[in-house]
Amino acid sequence: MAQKLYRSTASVLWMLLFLGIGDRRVAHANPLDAFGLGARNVALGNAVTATVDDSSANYYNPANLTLVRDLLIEIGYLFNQPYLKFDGQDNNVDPLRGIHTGMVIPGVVGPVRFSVGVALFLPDQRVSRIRSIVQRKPRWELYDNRTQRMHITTNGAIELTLPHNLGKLRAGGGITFLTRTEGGLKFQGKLYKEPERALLSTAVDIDFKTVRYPGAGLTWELRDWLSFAVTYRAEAKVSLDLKARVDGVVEFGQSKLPGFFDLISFNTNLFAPHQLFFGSAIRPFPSLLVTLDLGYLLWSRYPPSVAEIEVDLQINGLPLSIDPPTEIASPNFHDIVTVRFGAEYRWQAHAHFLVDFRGGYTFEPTPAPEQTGVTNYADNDKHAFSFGVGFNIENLFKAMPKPLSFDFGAQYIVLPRRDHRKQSAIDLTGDYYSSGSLLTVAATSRVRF
Amino acid sequence: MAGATVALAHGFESIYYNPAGIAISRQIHIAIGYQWSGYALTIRSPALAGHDQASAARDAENQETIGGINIGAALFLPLKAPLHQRIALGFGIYIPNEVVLSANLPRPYTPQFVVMGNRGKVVAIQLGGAVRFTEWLSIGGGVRALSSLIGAITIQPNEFGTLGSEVKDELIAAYSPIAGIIVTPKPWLKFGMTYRGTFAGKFALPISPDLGASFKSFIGVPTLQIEGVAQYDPRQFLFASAWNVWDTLWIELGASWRRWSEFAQPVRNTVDCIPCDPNDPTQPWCDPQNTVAHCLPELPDPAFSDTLSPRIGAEWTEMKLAHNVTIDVRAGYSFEPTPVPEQTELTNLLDNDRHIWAIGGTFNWWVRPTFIVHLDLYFQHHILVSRTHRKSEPWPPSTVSETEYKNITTAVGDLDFRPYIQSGGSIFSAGTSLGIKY
Repeated sequence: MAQKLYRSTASVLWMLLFLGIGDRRVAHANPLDAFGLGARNVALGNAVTATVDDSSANYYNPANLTLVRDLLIEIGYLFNQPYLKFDGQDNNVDPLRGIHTGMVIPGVVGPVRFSVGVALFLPDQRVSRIRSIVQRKPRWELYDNRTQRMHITTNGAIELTLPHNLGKLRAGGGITFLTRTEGGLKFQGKLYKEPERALLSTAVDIDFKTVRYPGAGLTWELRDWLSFAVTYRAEAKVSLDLKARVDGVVEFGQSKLPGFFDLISFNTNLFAPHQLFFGSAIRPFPSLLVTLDLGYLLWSRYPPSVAEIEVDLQINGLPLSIDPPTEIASPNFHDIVTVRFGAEYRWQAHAHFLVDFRGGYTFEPTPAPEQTGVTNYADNDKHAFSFGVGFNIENLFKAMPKPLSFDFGAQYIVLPRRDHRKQSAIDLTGDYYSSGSLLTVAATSRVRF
Repeated sequence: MAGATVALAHGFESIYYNPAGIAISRQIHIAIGYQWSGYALTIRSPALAGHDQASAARDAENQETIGGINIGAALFLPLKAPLHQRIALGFGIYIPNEVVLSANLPRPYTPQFVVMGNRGKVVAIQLGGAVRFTEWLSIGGGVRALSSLIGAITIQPNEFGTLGSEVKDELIAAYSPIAGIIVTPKPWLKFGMTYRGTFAGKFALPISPDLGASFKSFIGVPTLQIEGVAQYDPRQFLFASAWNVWDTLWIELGASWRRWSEFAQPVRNTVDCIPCDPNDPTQPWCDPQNTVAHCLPELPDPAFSDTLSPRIGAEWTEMKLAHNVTIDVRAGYSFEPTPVPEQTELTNLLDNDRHIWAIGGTFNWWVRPTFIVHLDLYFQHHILVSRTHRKSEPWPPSTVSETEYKNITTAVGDLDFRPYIQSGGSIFSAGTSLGIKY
């Protein structure tokens, strides 16, 4: 009785504590930040930092890889359909769909339990996309392009049992991989006034370089019904840095003039900010799990996603001039804080058949300011409502006695209307408003061996 | 073992050499390692001193060293009977230092090591599975994944008279199948066969530079077609047999057949050829007898030939060094004939026959009877047999017209390497890995 009272009181205090702190803010920059990984986590509003217990721990909290006790293999699919609009007109932002898969391999050495894991999200259409359009053109800054990329992360974790009945401590960390493009193109030959007469050859030296960024997590399981966790994900930036040099002779009339011009295009894209998430989970009753996450995202370091160009021309004897490059304006994003809430109720339908009902809510304020100047990096606050169901079946096949899990989740994100009023009366874009919604559905199967 | 591990494949490395080998070991195997390759290549020609292409030849000789991390795992699914110890999965990832994919392609016609250049500068992700149907038959399959690039860069003035640009850069996943079989008719005899599909990383990144009206009134810059194949491995079949000649000493003898004849030019011309119109008054330079005289000719077919490469390897396992330490030692040799024909005309695609020697070993620390920590080391030396390409007489070759030759040398530079161009050198490779089996 005393134990039950203690647990109920702790549950209420836990909710008050986190609801009191968690007053606002979240945002996203890659497919996992934006829509989550795995159907269970989508259904829980991604509030799983303290409780994630499958291969998606590679992303949410590497420390929790040690919660996986059996060899685990997962495969699933995620589909997101955006309905994003300017002035009520659909912008036809590309949908995102792709396979997610992962594996966790657990082991024990003496008193230490360890796990290694890998998780992969692979969009159907591409590994990654960098697309930079001119800053004047309105675009959905956080959804137009940034979600269109592969995510591969690999991690390791250990678990220790603490003395003095202080529970268990888990620690994990690893690396996430991205690519950036860098290189040069060297053109050589002869140019004329007529472009079709150009005689040019090219030497290509382009590298797709690895961008590695670290992540780490720590979970303290004070009791089997109460856990706290913290996760850090480092900033990731993907750039496209190309230099083209045309070297040779310009034949103009009877003149043959040696010279060159350099063209440098530099673009930063697919930015993901430093992120720090605090998570907690409590089971007021054995069949009910309640989770709450708070996240801090350092969006103030967001660079312009517009390509900068530099042109250097040197051809003596021709009165040439080149239009100056457009001046790139700062996006002036600001840091944000987010709150995520999730709940899961487990119903034992049969001795070998469990059903989980899940729901979640997330509020994410936008890091982008109102677009009053030359830029049009549109983004809105987001309210995300999610729900889902999971089925766990044991002894389905004689050869596979461990549970098989099938999870389904859906999330509906509402972006309330936001007005962008231009300071200049002659702004080429003019005033407009942004609004919309996004629908995500996901399915995941988990096989334990 | 110089790659002579088709019938003797086991562990996560077999995802590459023969996926059927994933099902040979009956433990979970996880390993992480590092491998390094260095080049000492040479290009010689009496014509090279003061030649237009001297710097291109130096660049081709000075290939960057390549290093990278490899991570892999192979494991049996712990299923109950009748699938107990029958199904295994594995993955292997090779991540070069900093680079996911390198597209380093010199100008066409210039001296370049076309087969060895860039090799190893691409991420290789391999996933596979295998089924051990009986004690004597294992079959495996998987995929190798890599990336291709498509994109475009457009530069043009905007309404305010300033230059703006739009950039699109997409990495597309490309997959190549791999399959293998291992048959063990006797405990002392194994046969193995592996098929690998074509592995090609392509790129296409056209650049459309419009630098404004003032510039265009003097110089016309066309759309620049940047397109080619950054990485290429041909389709290949590998077959081998292995004998347990004494104690735990195995010897493997095999060969690999590579379909290099499918290899096409790795780059295309920078400017598309648009025939001119002799009746157009704005094209007074147009030759009515030859409306493509202002263009570069199509790049010639490289005309590579298929190759058959023999290899032999030996592995002596579990030699006791201490009460809980054993070592395995390995050695191998293979001969890789070049697929590249003698370069008698304008092109200078260089490649040589190679003798490959390799030695290696493994220290196994048996922490417990079912838990092993292992450290692998290997060294490999490729000797490139010196090769001389004698250039045709007279020069330029009769396969190109005078106009075509003039256009090519305008775009590329002097290509006269008479009387010959010669290539040779060595490649060194070494690596280590640390892993556990349990």
